[in-house]
Amino acid sequence: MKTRNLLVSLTLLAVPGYLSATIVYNNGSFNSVDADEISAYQVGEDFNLASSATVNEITFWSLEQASNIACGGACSGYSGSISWAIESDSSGVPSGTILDSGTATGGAVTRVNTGSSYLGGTVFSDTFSITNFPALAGINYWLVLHNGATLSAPTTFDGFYWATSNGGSPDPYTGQSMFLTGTNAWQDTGNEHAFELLNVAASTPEPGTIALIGAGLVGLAAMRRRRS
Amino acid sequence: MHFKFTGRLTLIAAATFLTAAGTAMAQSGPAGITQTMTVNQGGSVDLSTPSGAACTAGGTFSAAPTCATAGTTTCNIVYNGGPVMTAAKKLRLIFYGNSTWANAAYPLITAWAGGIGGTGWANVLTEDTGPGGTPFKNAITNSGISIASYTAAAPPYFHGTLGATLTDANLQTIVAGAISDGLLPLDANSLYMVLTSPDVTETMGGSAFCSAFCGYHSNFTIGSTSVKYAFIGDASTQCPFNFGGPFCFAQCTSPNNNPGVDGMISVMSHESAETFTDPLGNAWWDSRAGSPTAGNEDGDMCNFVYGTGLLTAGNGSKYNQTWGGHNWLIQQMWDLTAACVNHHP
Repeated sequence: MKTRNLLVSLTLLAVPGYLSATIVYNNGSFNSVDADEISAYQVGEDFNLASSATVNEITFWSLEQASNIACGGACSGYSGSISWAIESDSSGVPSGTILDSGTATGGAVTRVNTGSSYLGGTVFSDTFSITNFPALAGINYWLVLHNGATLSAPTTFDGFYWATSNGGSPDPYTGQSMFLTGTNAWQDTGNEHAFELLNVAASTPEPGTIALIGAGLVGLAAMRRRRS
Repeated sequence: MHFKFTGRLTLIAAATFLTAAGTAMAQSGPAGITQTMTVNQGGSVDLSTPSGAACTAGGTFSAAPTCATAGTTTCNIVYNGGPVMTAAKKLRLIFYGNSTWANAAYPLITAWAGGIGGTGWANVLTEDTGPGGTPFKNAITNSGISIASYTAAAPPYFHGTLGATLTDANLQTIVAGAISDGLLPLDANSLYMVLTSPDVTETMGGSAFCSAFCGYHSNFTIGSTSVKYAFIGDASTQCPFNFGGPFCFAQCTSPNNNPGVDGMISVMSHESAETFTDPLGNAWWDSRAGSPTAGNEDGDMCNFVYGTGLLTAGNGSKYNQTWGGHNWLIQQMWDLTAACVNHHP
């Protein structure tokens, strides 16, 4: 029985395509200082990669309040969807030209309660996959987030915020906020916001590794045959 | 406890408002706080007694500014060398009072605060540069945390219950309590606005809301951080519009069908502009002895002046601004070269 379990484990290891995640840009985790509302607003934060990389996963840190006057008491918090966009830069604000975008809904967002709280709210890390975005080194981009199914559609205040961070490097601009009701422009929040951009790749083992695993499997099979 | 008085507190008067040389006002504050405040409005306040009469009709619009000659050397504000809030600014809204009022006020005030940044109105303030000509950034957001503080211990729970009769020291306790309770961040680039429901009274240095002022701004320090705060009350029951008496709002039927809150928004515009351009009382104000506008900050120059060419909303009310999905009737702002204006350029 033990041998069988070992064989299964080794076989799984030998399957090409286990996942490895690389942080390609880190704007910092939450710093427990401030947060910016992203339900009635959309908020953008800039990033600039030192080396070109493909981004296909985003983690950001949110702050959820259980109650707030804006919610009329209890807050609904996370809407069930995070709409996002990567936009080019236009003199320090998101240009409106969307280079990549989407909506992560339901189980597409992995929400982890960090156990931390501040400003009357609880901090979550929120991770979701995006279509491959080839970010070029040295170019200013903006990650824009909104707590709702459509990026530009305002929702009611529901106690859901993008937590602030100490920023990344290089990082020429602070985050921008836009109120979504009426016609409004981007406003400087004076804050950096907590997020990471990742490249999650399916790794294929080196030929030598495959040969080693194969030899181990053959050996184990031979042992099993002898015992039986 | 040590109290140091270095700042300047300015009022938006509910009626005719004469200024005099700065008068220092000693005042105790909450534990751990060094308060810095000086009143520059002196003792010459000419007010009528509020009648408390119901709002019945009409409104007063386009009142002539104190100094009708645009941007002349006799009528202007001047720079006095102190700090200006040139960086991106946040409005931190603290609703104090009954929850029914707060729930009705919140959507309107949030829409005003959400859209004011970058408007032509806010752009007028960019003329008021900081030390050495530091540019003034007209970015204003309220996307930070806003809280409610009910007199009853309803959620969200607030640090203590101060009741419906507030003093200026209470305001500082409310702001400092929200910060120490972790509900609001401590931020020198924020304006903490304490907004009260119609049943709440407020006094400051012997003057009272609705008899001497509709709102004011001031500052104190927590540690080494300068905390700017303002008081604005809903005047709808304490001094509703009445001809010839003190009033804090201009019309009985208002653009958003909430005269009390619409009136607050006009005063909030005034106080926020003054805080941003004269946060400690030593930046943009008319410090020239003998000037007809001596003592005025930028908001005072256009106190309850709404301009000509007002637009008419569907309910018959007047307005002069539109943003955040709403129409607003807010006080004009002082342009250094063009007097009271709705926008710049």
